[in-house]
Amino acid sequence: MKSQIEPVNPTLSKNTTELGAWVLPIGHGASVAIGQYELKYIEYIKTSITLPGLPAYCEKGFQWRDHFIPMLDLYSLAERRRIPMAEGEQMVAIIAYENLQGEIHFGAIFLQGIPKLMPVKPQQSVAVTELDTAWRLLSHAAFRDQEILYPVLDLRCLFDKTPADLLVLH
Amino acid sequence: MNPIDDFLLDNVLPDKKPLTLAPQANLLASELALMDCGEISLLIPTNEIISLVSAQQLVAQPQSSFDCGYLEFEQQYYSIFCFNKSLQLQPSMNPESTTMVLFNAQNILFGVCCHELTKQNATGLTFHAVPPSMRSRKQPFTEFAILDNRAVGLSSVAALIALLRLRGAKLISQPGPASALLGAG
Repeated sequence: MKSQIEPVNPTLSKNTTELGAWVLPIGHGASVAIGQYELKYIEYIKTSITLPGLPAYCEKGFQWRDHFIPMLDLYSLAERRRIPMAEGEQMVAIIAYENLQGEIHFGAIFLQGIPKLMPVKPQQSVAVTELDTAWRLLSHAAFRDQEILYPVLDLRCLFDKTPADLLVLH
Repeated sequence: MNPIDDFLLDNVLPDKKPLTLAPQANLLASELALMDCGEISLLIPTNEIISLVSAQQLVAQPQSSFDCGYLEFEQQYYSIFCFNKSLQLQPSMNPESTTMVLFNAQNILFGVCCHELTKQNATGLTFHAVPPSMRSRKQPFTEFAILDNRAVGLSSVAALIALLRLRGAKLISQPGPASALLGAG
């Protein structure tokens, strides 16, 4: 599985260099991006499961098709403050990533809005160092669209590290 | 299943590598007890439990900032500990705690407060490994089951001792009955 932004349409990509990214609203107007094929499902979660001894941003997960899916509240992680989750259903983006052992795992990102698939051209790419400090070490690329800077998340970094390792990195 | 799922299942789900399934726990030879501590729940092998004692018998005189009191049981002293959701040690017992579960591991005697302790058949449970992004060295378990929409960690007395030590509690092996009181000084 590739971790970079993928072509929106393989046929189209032969003639253009347009790429595709999902833009995920994570709260308070903030959005992040992931590669087109990294987003697998959008789900509404009715019941979440909390594990003890964890920071708020990563303490919840849910059961989904015989899997337990860990869920990250990226706004809480980036801003280092908790957004109270609304009662009832929560919308999440279920993503897939390849860990260091080459196994495919699922994770979920808590959403505050509907994701949008966006075409991205190479000339929109910007250096990761232009991102806010909070996002630099969690992203492996970045692009600009209509004056908005989007971090492209490094999903392996986010989901394959323990919270202690991630907070040190962050 | 919604239309997005249908589409993605047919078109997107990677098929080159098998998905990692939730691991089956090494089901223990002994029965398990479900220790409901309110904000956390643990499964403990029943053969590691010495006894259950009513919380009313707690001598609520903490011997350190880590325990919430002690208990004398069969001429031996047990320091009693109470965990909160963050797996920190509480200086007092929660009002909802009705039971103290007593443990003895290599003459380390201690007890943990809980709301309720019930037998649990492990054969019907599916255990999940704690995902990397939800792992903490403070958790006294690496696998958990889901019961009534709550995570229940598969733990042991050794894992509880490790957590207590990590939290600063000094656990001393007692050579005989009625020796020095446990707990940090």
